[in-house]
Amino acid sequence: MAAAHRPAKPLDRLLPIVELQYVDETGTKGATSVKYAVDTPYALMDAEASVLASLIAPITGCALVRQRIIYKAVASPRDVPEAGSTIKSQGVFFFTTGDETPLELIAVPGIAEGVISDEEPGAGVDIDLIHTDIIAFADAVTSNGLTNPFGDAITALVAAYRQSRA
Amino acid sequence: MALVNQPAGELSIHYRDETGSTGSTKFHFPYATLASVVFTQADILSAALNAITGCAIDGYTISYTKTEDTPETPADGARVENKGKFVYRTANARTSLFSVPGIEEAVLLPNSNTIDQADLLIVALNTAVVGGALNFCSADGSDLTAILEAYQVMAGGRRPSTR
Repeated sequence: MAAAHRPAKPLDRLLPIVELQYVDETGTKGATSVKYAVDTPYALMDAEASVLASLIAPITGCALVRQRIIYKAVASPRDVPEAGSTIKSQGVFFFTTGDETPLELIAVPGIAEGVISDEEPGAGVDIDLIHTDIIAFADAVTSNGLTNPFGDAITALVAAYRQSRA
Repeated sequence: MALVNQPAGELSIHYRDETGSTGSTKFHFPYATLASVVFTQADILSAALNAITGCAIDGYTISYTKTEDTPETPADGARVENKGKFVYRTANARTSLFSVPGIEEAVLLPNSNTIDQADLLIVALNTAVVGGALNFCSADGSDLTAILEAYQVMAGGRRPSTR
């Protein structure tokens, strides 16, 4: 499996979804889902989710536990995976968010063979941190305002290796 | 009792390998980030990932989650499988539906699985859906224009995790 330089496929945006999740007396969960026009702003859907929840509250015996607003995009047409690619071969990237906040771990399924280091002692396992495509990926992560799940900003890539999740 | 947002929203990029197995990469972004900005970020990240994976990138999902900090107690006997189905006509002469888990028996017509469209609570819901207070649409993007039917069905829910 060589490092891929296939052109990225264009992605089509789907209708965003507001999902209200409910739980019943047994702990079983179910949801009300409704769709909105493409590119509807979050603020509008968030406000209307509150209205919808208030209208549903008196006609359900279940309790509201979660609200999700979901935007989706899909490749059109879908790309063809490379021969031999497997999601079990993951690249695991450790990004720092500062000295006193948790690391952010980002896993990339089907890591390309071409970005794996061939230098000992980590040959075949370590990801080559000075590979052009890895530098580009790390830049894309650190320069786009991404965070860990706690909202701490990602600042730098510190380590990366391949692991098999067979 | 309030819905409280997570510290960060989530971006999941979806992959498919040669065997058809699927996986994903998860990223997080500050919750206040506009979706339009996250779309741009997702396109940049997808292009960068495309160069370092042999899998095909099938798409991505951007989600903003709020959770109830003190959920109410569900009513005795409430079951999410006991759904109210609301079917609407759409502006392009098709239909669209949404469901309400655990629909109350009180809004059904006597000895029937039909939801009473004259019930004040149902009138309020329908008025909001077709009257402009709620602007959701059908799966093909068409406006909902009038209620066609509403009824109760027993349909599957998701059991709580035992782990």
